[in-house]
Amino acid sequence: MARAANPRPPVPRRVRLLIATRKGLWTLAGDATRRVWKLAGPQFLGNVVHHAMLDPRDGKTMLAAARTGHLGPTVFRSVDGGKSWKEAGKPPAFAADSGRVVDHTFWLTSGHASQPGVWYAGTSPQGLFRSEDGGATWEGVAGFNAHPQRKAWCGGDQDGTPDGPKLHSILIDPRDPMHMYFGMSSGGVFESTDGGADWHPLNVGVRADFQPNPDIEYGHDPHCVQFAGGNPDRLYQQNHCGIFRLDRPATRWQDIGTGMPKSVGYVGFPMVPHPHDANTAWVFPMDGTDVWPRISPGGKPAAYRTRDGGKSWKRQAVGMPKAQAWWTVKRQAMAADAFPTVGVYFGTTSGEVWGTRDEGRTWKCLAAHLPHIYAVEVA
Amino acid sequence: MAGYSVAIPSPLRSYTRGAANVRVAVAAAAPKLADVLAALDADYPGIRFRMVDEAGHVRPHIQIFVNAKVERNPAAALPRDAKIMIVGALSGG
Repeated sequence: MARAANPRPPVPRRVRLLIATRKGLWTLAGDATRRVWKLAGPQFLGNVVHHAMLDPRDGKTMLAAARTGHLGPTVFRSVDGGKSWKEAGKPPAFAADSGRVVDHTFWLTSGHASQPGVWYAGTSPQGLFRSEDGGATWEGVAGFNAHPQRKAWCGGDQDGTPDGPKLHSILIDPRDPMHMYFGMSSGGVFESTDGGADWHPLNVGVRADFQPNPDIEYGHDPHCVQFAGGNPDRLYQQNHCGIFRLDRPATRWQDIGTGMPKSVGYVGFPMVPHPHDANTAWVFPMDGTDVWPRISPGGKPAAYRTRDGGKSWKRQAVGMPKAQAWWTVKRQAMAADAFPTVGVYFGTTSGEVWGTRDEGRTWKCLAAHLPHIYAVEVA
Repeated sequence: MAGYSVAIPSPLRSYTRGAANVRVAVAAAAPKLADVLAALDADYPGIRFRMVDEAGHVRPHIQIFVNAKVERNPAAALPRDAKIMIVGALSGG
């Protein structure tokens, strides 16, 4: 695949964060200096909002995946940048005779630039859905949901996350709408080259330490998979068993977690690429030892940044608490803006939003006292 | 045509424009609970899927009473003029 020209987008004049929480959706708006922030919300108070995304193609369509403790899963959509919302007429749901039921929609991805109105959704349990009308109605992608290997790829109930097995990290190649990837926890990373009609596993080189055979073809646990900034031939992956990079057309992932300090480890949930530099990315390590506490190792939170494609990692914690801060940052809860000097933002399950306006050199708490944060996205 | 009174719990009142009780009409000669749920969805689009999943089962944290008795089977026959009460189960909130 030839690498497409990727002109740098215009410098943003502001930044807005969509903060999806266990109890509703908030927005956090920053001005051009990214020093002044204003919190607004909640919308959908009391709803479990797993993900909220702005459509970058039109800058005004927004989708939010929600359910409540009592009520089944749905998708809300806005066509005015989040001012007003309407429920999808047909939310993601499996075929009635499939024997499967969507517990929640977990992941939302807007489609290719050449396909306005197309969105994809990943669900728990693992299902892939597509909308062609801006999120108003959804159909299952039979190429995956009815794939003869789907059950083998996904495993059973014990092979998912504590909140249920999930399909996530839906990536559409910006050069080719037929070329797609997604991740499954569990299942691994999968690729389609025909618009989702068929899929194949793409996990060679990725460890699966929790399996009897760690070199299996599928059954892995990618926590988050992202394109490198400006280079869709490069994928970064934060996995249950390490940090990996894949440079297509190769099919073997490279272990790039070996440069992380042993005392910190290579476990985490989010993986955030620098939007303008394919060699730069951030992770936010979690303690994966013992009973898998999944909190900042030693109570000392830090982001780690690579600037050389994962060969080395630098601790970035200036401004964060130096001790007794037991944060968890979930896989959708960290994102970067598109300013020339990139801002990076993350939310914790204890309801704090932190950000940096200097690519991680210094961090500041931007909001606190929110509910358990599931997702932070730049809108 | 049979008419049924349905009590709506607060999590579902965004569909009924705030109404705590609604009345729906069912044309079936031998009405079932499923007919009432379908009639509710016709009057208040989207409400059914929030309480009944795609396999046709009442969701785990929704409870339905028919004449004060728990009824979770959508195929259950309904007495004429049965009073139906939908509630959010304690487990879901």
